[in-house]
Amino acid sequence: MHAHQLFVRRCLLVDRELEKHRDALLVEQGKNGDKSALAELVGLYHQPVYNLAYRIVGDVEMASDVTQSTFLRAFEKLAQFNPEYKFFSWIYRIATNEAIDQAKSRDRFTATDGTELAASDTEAAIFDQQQAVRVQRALGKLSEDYRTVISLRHFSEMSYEDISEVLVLPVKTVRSRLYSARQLLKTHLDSQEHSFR
Amino acid sequence: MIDEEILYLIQAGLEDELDSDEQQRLLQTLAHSAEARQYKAELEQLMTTLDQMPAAALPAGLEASILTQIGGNTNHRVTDIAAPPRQRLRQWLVPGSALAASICLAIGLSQVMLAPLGTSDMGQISGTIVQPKEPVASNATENSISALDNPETNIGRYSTHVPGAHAEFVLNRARQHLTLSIDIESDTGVTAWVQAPAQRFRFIAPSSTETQLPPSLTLVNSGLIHIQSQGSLQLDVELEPLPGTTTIDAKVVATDILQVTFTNASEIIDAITIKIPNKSLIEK
Repeated sequence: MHAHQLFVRRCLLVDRELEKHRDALLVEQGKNGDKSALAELVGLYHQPVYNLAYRIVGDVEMASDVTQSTFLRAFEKLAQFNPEYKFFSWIYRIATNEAIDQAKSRDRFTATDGTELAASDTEAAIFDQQQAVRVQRALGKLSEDYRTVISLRHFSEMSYEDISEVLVLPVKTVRSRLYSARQLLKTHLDSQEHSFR
Repeated sequence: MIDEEILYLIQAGLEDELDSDEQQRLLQTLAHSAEARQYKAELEQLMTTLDQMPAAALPAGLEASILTQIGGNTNHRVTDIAAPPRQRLRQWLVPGSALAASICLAIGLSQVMLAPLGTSDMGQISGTIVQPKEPVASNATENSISALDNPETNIGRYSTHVPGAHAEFVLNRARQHLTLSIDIESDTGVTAWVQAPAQRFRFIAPSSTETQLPPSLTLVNSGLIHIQSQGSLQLDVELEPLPGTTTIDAKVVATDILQVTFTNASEIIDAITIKIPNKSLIEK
């Protein structure tokens, strides 16, 4: 791993610890009926929740539905939230379960053309966009479990420990699932490359 | 055909998850196996691609739709303040309400060798102001701020304000170093975290993280400096940017996040994040 990536991961670890404290305060205020605290939680987490949902379900409309139902469900059950745990792990767990349920029930994963990805017009960005489309297509060929673990690790930038908390799995299982998911993803990407030649 | 265990070691190695024995074993394998080296390069490429995948663009109105359903509101206003002049220093009034204040600060720095900067380096500021949801009581007085290319430059003055507490964070470019002054007052108490590798910063007041803390401050953990204070907290931290830093940029990136970046000609080489949970930062 590059030094820059390690630095980013280390900063994220620091940030996560502070986020836990901030989120606990917002949740406490939300439990006491403060709607602006709930609005702040939505503001903080709707983008990452949507991004995670989109990566798992592969469909804009479905990902929007998942994002909305995630927050509604979370706020309905806010009284059950244990502040000793991280709010983001809790909401990601709800989002993950919602997304997997939706993906399974509709049995659909859209092969994106890239328009759903953040727009950019530089040459490098267009190349990246094509690359992103290939990855998204390959992700669609993985099972929901594999797609989820890849999404949490690489798109939500979670540590093994955080993923284990979200998926309620031992860290060892997370590690081996991630290993298998990457192996399979690599195989799908390699076969895409060969079919283009 | 590469052994399954080696494939596993390569993945773990790329994530810096190996112990020294495993690392040694992997290095030996890589030294002798072109196939393993190729696999490692391909996997590294894949992981880089995954890490750099662009975020999915948010559908318009999604946040508003969620807020409508929960009955929340979005009454904060965002204003672009790229390269603003800061000509005023405000003194903040402390409201009487007794609400416990909890302020968190985090300074994340990479662990790299240090060297002083030249005096020609410039400070600058750009970013976004998030307006407070309620008017903040204040008295405004004039304050003369040096020009941006002056080696002693105030590059940012931020405050946060809640009933019962207020805090000010002042970033100064003081010749070779960056100084972060933290001044927090509250009716009931303050909790603050300052996190950074010790070799990348030093406290001016208190001057030592372990031995010269004022009686009101408690050092809980030497790695994560956790300070608890009753009533008020004044703390100055001197930061030493990396060699080659040409620009220091302070930016309010969210309602509760102040980000300071050190940049050379082409890229960000270091960054500090200051978080104030559940507070609105105001550039002053």
